[in-house]
Amino acid sequence: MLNIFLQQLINALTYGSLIGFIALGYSLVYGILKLINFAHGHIVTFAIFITMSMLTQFLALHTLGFILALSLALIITIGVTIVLEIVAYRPLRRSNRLSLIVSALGAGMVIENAVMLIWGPNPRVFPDINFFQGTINLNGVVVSELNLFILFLNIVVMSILYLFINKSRTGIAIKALSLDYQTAQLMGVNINKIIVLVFVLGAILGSAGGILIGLTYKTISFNMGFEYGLKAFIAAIIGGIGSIPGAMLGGLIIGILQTLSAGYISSIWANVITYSLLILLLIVRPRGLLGQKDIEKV
Amino acid sequence: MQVNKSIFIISLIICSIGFPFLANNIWLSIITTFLIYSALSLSQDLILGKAGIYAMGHAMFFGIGAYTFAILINTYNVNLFIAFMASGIISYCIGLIIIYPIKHLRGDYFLVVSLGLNIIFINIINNDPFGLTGGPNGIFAINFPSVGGLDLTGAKAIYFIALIFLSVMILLFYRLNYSKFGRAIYYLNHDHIAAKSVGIKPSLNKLLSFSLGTMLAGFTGAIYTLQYGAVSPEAFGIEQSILLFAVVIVGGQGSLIGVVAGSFVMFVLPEIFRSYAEYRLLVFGAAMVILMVIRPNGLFPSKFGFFQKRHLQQK
Amino acid sequence: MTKLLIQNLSKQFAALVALDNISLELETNKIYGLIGPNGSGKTTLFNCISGVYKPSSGNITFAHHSIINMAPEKIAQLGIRRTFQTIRLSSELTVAENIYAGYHHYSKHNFIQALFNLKGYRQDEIHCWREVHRAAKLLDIEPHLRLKVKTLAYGIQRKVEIARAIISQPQLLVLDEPAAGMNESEKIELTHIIKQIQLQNITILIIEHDMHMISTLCDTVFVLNHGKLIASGSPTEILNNKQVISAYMGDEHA
Repeated sequence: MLNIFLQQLINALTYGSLIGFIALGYSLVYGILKLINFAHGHIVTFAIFITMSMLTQFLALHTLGFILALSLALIITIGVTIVLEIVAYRPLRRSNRLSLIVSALGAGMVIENAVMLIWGPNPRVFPDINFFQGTINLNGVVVSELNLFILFLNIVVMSILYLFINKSRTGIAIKALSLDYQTAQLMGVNINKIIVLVFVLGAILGSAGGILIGLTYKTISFNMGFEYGLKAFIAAIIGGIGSIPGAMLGGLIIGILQTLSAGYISSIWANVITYSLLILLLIVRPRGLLGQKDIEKV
Repeated sequence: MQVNKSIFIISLIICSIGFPFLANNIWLSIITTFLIYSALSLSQDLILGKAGIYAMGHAMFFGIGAYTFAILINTYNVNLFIAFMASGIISYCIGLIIIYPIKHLRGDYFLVVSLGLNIIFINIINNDPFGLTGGPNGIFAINFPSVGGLDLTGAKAIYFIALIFLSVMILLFYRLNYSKFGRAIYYLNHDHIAAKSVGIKPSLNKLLSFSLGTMLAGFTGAIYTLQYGAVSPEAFGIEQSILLFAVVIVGGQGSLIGVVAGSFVMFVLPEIFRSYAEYRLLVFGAAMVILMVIRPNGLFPSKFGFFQKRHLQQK
Repeated sequence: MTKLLIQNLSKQFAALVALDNISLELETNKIYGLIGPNGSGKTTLFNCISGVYKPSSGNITFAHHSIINMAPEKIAQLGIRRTFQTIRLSSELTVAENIYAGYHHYSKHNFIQALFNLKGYRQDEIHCWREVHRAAKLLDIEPHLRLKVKTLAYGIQRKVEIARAIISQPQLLVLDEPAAGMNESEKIELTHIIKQIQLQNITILIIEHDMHMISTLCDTVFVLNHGKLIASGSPTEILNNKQVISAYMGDEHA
């Protein structure tokens, strides 16, 4: 009984961490542009598919091939992200917020359908890799090496990101930009450079999450980005948008709600239960768990 | 100028009445779809464009209306007229119940919650609660009873029902700017602090505009069911909600012509270019980005101004 | 007769005490000034009076109603109207349509009348239009009524905001730096206009930095510093008050 629960919990934390990786991308971009980057989920899908293609190309080369495939996939994804920022977001930065949202939605549709046209509408299977295939048995609770790696990576990435944002010069510039756009510009922060950097950072974290999703759940399809993206965005919001630990916390909460309600209540009602509880949480705490209350200037 | 406008309106009325007697059934059905989606987009515009509430789950209320109508007729054999009224009223009530606890959420938070609600709705109808919604297949082969010897399911009859409904909505929207309610939501949308400081009630007007929008979507849903004789979940999912949201912003928030033009582009053109179906969304997405970059305020930005000329001329 | 009574009002933002135990009393039909260095809590006090902020403690009574937990729109309906430090007008609308906003609450038609342009609606519109005219005349902005606000000079926009606040004939008018950004001749004109408004039985409370304007207009002046009320009295008393001088100039001048 307890073993089953622990097993579920491990699954929940894995799922939650993966959502959390994607959520960080939303949170970072929202922090500076106040934009729900609706294309982010689809960028993640793109990263998964391009990685799949690269892996099937280079898998014969074992570890070297894995690294090669990963770096090539990442470079292409970053390229797409930068193009997206320049074409769809930069011209609209100063106009009304709704047009920016629609532009992001449009960009998301373009990427989603491009993925469908390139790799086909049917679900595909993510290729196996040569490591992280074993499992570890802890008193009857079976944990795969991949799960452990995901949890480990989660902690490492969180710590590095936290240090980067709070201690490095660039990180402080990002923070300044999210607090006050105009002042930051006057203080000599190069806005365009910082914004591109934040998009790229989000894309890298999202791609990492996406690739791990591919490795964990195997089946991938062109339209998976929206579902994961939306869950990740909600995670970012309930954690407190703009907060790095918040995004991860939100991801973990979603993972736990989703997995436990599917495991213990009903799998067909799991989504309904999860979303209802999340909405309830937002009604009670509109600024999220770790978010700060903002006072409207009059 | 004034004369030109009247000529334009009169010829538009003549054309829309004469159209079904000249067109073939394919075109008739395409244009009926256009009328229905225009009405639906206008109801979204009341909430998003006019009241400035970031609601991205409007297809849900369209679905509530459509399913209510279908269930009442198919399962309970209710009179057509009563079923129609019920679709709007139930949509209105659910809209009111939903907006009440979330009315304090602003901007993007509201947007995300409404998207979440739409997903919940789709999940519920997919799970076929109490055997009412028919699960993923939906409800099909609905038999509509005739009303007073009139068969309302013929293509022409549905066209006229949709036309009358859209005309009523256009009149409503046209006169909204001149009414106390329309002005209240304009002031609140543009600067809610200034509006409150002159005594305009924010929450009442927010509740009212949202629930009226959902009611109109409910009625539109009923007409949709009447046209297709079937309902199924995919017509009411988040993809539809996103399209509706985009129609209003791409067309021009609060702009009657803009929203109608927007629904033509988003819902009618794909019907015409069916053979390129797989590129449809790709082209749409690109069009959304390009249009927003070129015209950030929409194709036809709204003009708001409410003191009519004849009043201004009086001293 | 007492119009507005503020008792022991405090407002705290996290660690910052913006208002500290303020008590003051405004009587009917007089003009009051509120001065103090930047950041002393003047606008916060205005926001508490108009209901935009909820005070942390204390009480505000207006014409025998406690307005402490009232929503801003309710307070406005009771008869307190305000202007803002930064202009808050709908720039896409005309001057007339902006001024009308102040009278919106008293507009009497229903939706059906508006929908079909019925007699009740038309009469109401004419009535509102007359009220708009009356307010515009008082502020001397009649020629601009049909122009869009965004095309007008800053000084005129300020006047539009005041017109919007007085159109409903409030009992208390709260003006937040009405002369900011105006030149000398505009300030003299504004002083004259504010006197005219007072003649309509309106109590007025003004935040202003121009001491000349304050001393020509006000019956009583309140001075805030660091959230505390440090002095009150007639303009001459205030100008000679050592505490006030030190608050403005720094201690070495005292």
